[in-house]
Amino acid sequence: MNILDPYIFYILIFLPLAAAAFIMLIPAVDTGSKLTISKFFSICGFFAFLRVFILFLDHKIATDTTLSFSLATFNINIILHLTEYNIFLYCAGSAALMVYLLSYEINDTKTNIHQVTPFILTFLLYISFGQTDLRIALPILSIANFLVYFLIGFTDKTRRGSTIFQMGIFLFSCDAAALVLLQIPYNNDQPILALIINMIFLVPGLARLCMPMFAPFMRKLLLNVDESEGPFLISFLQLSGFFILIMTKTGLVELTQSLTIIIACLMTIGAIHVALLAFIDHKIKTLPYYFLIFYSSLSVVILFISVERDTWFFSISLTLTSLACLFQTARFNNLFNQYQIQELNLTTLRSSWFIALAMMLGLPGLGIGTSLWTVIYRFMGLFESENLLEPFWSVVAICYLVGILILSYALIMSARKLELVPKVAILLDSRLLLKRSLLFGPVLIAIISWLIPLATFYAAAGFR
Amino acid sequence: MTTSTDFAIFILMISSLLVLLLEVIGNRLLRIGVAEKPHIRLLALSTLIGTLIMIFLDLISQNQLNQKPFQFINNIASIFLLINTIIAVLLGKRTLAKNQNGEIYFLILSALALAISNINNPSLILKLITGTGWLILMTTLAIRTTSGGKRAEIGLKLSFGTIIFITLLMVAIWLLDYSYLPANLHLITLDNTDARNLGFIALILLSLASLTLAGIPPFHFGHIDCGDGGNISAAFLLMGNSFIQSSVFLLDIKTTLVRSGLNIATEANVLSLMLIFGFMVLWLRALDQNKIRRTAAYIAGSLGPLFFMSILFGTSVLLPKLIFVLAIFSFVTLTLFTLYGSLAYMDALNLSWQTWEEMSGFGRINPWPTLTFLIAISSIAGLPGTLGYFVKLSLIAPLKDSIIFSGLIFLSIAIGAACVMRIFVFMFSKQSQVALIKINIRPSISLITASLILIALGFFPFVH
Repeated sequence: MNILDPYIFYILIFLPLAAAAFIMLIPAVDTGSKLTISKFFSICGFFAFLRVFILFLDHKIATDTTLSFSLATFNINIILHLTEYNIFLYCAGSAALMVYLLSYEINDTKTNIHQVTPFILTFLLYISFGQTDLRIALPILSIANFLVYFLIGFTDKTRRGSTIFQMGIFLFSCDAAALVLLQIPYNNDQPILALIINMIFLVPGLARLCMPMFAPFMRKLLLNVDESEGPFLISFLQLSGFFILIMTKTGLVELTQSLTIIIACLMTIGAIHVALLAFIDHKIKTLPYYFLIFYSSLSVVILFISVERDTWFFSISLTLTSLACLFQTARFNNLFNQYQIQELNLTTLRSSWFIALAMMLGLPGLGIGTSLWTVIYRFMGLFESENLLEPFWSVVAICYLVGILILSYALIMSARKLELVPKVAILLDSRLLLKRSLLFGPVLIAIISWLIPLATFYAAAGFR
Repeated sequence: MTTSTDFAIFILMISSLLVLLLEVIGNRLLRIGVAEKPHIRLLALSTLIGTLIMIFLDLISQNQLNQKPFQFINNIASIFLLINTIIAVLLGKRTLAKNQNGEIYFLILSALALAISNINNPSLILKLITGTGWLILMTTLAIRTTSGGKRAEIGLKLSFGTIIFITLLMVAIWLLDYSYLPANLHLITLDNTDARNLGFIALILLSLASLTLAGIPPFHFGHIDCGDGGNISAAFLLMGNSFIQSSVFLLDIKTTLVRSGLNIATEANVLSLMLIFGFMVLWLRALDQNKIRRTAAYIAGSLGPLFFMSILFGTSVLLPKLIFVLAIFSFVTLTLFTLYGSLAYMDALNLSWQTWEEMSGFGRINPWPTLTFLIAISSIAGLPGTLGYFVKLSLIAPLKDSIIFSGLIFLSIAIGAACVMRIFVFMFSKQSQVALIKINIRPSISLITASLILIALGFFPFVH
């Protein structure tokens, strides 16, 4: 047994907080040191997670960790639970932080708060993930959004003010509505009322996932989020959204067939809407986000398709893969944006950029396709065996396929646009940077996109 | 009244006379500014701290304190009156002009003596005298410490409020006194009142009188104006101490209603709806204000109804009663201190930031006072993840039968969120239209600690 094993979960949780403290202690002008220590802590955090994951698979780690504080005769206990659900969210949280900080190839750090915020957000995510009661977790996630607004507010985008204004009001109101309703006991005898209340419980999660029907701020957010911070912020929202949804599914709502159908309908409409938006906008910057939201909607449909816990593993596999692909493509966008110099003659660069984006197309065996087709294969089998409203689900599946086609078209359009623009990225000042960022990246993501479903289903088999 | 309270009032009165004497001598020596009279400030602070320790020691020596905290609510309220006064004196160091003349410390000490006397005296006629006296002294303090044209408006409105207060109380006493001889006027207390027939009307009038004392809509005559144009310390003292006095008064009225065997649930709903009406009016007014101080005044004013509702109806399953009561009192003091303390740091240099528009981008340059200010208003708004949110939530379960009430509580959070986000956008997101001056002084440790407590306690859910 490793000497750190008894404390490994504490290390995972508190490492981001320690990192934030260290970064704050470094003088503000020394951004290089801040960046180095950020990378160091994020890598340590990811390794800590890997150890936790291995121990959890071997059932060698306590599933409940209690943090106790005593004030005179008053005891405060914070219990963090480690479950088969949230272990994947911890994985995503630690990986997102590490990838985000390692992507900082150009030092564009703005303030101390910008350096510290990713760690604080990750810490708050970790604390929330460990909760089993939405009444405890949701306020933490809600107040953490202020940091997101702060980062968006600090950008130079023209509509940043209205973005955070709309987003803030909407998210705080959704959270407050859900939390107020949790205080009021309601009668399950009235199915329509129960259905409405169940939907209200789901809104905070779906709004964070930027689902079009539930997040009126979605388009503004995607357009006004900073190129370098965007992927991390969106992944924060996505992870908190999925966490709220899984908590709601397992603890709050009674998953009736009508609720499943309503969610599937709303998500499908939202997915088509997103695909059309991507087609209308066909902007290089927002395209990866539209892909992500599209696949997130599919993940939600899968999550709520039945009460079986297996749905979570399929859903999270798809989400994790799409997040991995998002980071890679968003990184390309960031580099293009920062190196807008003159013409581009590097064919390899252009092709590797296209491959990175194509990973989000769902081509079998490449990028998101590794998880997507597993999900489709698995659920086609489920429909056949249980004959669950087969025509309805067929329509849903066709809608998603149409959505993917529209997104593909949007991708081609944006690729053409890139070719026609005279000012295209060129990375002349650092050959190493070029190799690392643009050539190895897609290969690495292609490998990771295979690893994610394999690891997820291996773990799922272990949990059984 | 307990002996310690009597003794405290006696010390405060002697001390206030002594302070007056020293101020008169100071004026004779042509030392007219507060900066030239540090010994008076020291004397006032020593008296306040000494009195606070005395009442605190008396309170903790009570055996029944943990079981029946409401029996000792007068002592608890007295402690918080003293704390508020100490804070006001300490804030005065920043907010009072150096050449401020007048009997500032005399007014503060004597007003405090009257406030303690008011909450500890059961006789209604004495409440009338002390309450009126307190309002007159506070009006004088507000006029003395305010410069410019606002002082006339504040004085006029507060005087009008005082007249309404006297009238309501006198009519109430007359209604209760119809069976008593005038000689026994001092015997009229709420303890020997029956809340039937005329007694009930008298109690309604007493409730309205206490709302007038606290400046709750539609009885807000000068409180908001004092918060807007008056001195920050005076505004803090007026709001904080009026809320505490009124809450004790309302609690006595509720006890009388309960003792009289009336249908308290209905009465409670009426009272809660009356309070939440005032609460909503204040938030709606806060939303459409352009002036910084005016917005802060409305937000601070909304704290009163929330505090009353929590004291009257709030419950917590998880917290012992005493801690819950202390948490509510602390909430008022901490939020008011954080709100006005932050304003003191923004306003101290007499800059021209009058409207939010002019203050655009202030938070980017001076993050600390802006952060504490935002935390204060978020907490008053009851955004999830702050102490204010749990204070609001503590009202939902006891008043769950009233859907309107729950709906209004949710609406108040949504409007509060809009208000907070509006300020957030102005402070952090918008670019400055005018040259911004950096305030090099960081807010005091106590101010930062108070704001952190408001956030930290929001992470410990004490309401289920």
